[in-house]
Amino acid sequence: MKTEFENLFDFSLDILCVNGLDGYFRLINPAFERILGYTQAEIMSKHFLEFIHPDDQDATREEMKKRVAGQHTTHFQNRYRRKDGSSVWIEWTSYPVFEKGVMYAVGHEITERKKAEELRLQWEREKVARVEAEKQVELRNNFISIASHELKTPMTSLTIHTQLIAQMIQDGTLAALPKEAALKLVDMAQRQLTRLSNLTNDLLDVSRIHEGVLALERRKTDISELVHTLIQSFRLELEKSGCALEYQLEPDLWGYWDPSRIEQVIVNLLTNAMKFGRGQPIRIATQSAEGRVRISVQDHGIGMSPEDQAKIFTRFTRVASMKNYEGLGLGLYIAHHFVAAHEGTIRVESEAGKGSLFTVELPLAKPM
Amino acid sequence: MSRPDRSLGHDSQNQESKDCLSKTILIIDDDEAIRFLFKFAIERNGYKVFIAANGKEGIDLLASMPEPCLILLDLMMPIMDGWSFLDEIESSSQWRNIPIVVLTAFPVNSSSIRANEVFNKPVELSDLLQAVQNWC
Repeated sequence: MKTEFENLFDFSLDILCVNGLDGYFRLINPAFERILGYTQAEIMSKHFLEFIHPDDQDATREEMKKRVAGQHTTHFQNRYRRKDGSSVWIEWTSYPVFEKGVMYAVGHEITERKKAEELRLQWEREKVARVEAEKQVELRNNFISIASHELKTPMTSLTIHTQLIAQMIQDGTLAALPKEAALKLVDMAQRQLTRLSNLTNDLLDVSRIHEGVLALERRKTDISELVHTLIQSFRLELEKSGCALEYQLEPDLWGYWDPSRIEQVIVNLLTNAMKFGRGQPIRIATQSAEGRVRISVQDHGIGMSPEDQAKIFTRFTRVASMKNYEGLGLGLYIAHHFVAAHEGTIRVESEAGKGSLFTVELPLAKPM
Repeated sequence: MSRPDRSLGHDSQNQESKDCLSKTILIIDDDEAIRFLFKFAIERNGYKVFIAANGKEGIDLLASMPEPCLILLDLMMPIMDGWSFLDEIESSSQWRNIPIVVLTAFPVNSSSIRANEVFNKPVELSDLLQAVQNWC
């Protein structure tokens, strides 16, 4: 005749067991046999870790250490391997009794619950990925509309230009065109072609950066000389922007850089300073600083908020209004990657309404 | 949103436009090459052309130039964009009846713009001259 406790022990749907602190079971109920598919003798003849799923062995050992240290367990979960090779998730509550060298444990099978949890997590992960993918598509679409706008502007000039020349040939007025006017027409067309070529190069650079195939042609370069030459070539643009340029260039700042890429970085920063500079003075400086060279470009224009500052170096991101400012919105993304390819850094300090200071630092690298 | 007082039907408008004696056109575009080429192309067809690089310059210029028979307007410009310029013109009793043709590389729905005509860039020279002729 079984006692009431023995009956409870036998009829329980949850696992009830007494496990020795040596890792061998002293007593198990029929639910344990049913859940694992092993007989009582099989379960009790092996160290309990032999039934644990390989991926949960370490966590289970750690949990056992706590038990030996006298802590009791609630809600510890691990997987047991069944005799047929499948796994079951079990959630444990246990309590050690040192004087007897055992712990009492109750295990509740939670395989279905874990499956549901896993499905929910997977669904959450997919949702996050989907939202991110949609965001990327939207950014890309915006970018395509900006790029097409930027390409159409010089195309408009060139279309009108060629049709105008054709019309003038037809009505015989081309030959009578004063030399100066004719040269201006040619110069205009040339400038539109340069613009298209720059836009195409930017798009190609973005593609190279994205594909990870940006190649540098490093050679010995004096950064101050490079900046100085650049400033001279920007005289006309600076005049048009209404921004006075102040510069302070430390002589002989040599490094092994790709001059065309570094020039592009400074062009992009200077172009932005003129575009967003509201006709206020721009300052460019170069100086050496702890084995590095520091190039700074400062304007006193529209500036930007901290939120915008966090976004400006990423692809397809424009923080300035499309309605008021032309450009692909790729300049700082390209600059960031060109600088990074030289093991350098670029950063911005800015305040909305007060202007921006961009600082590039490049290592004064030794020859390769 | 289209301007009720400026029908796109050119028949009646033409008669009224032909009466426009000024033969003066205002071009507002931030692109220097476009300003230069449009001005060059239109002037050699017998019109007087004034140019402005943004909406604000356009408004300032309107106050000091003969009233134009047509404004050719870009949309995306610094300082004052084309949308704001249209708002300003719409609220002015003096200029609200000047025909406006928008030329833009920005993809816009023409019914959402308060202009008499909308052309998408790149625009053909013949279309540009035809528009000028229709309105002036």
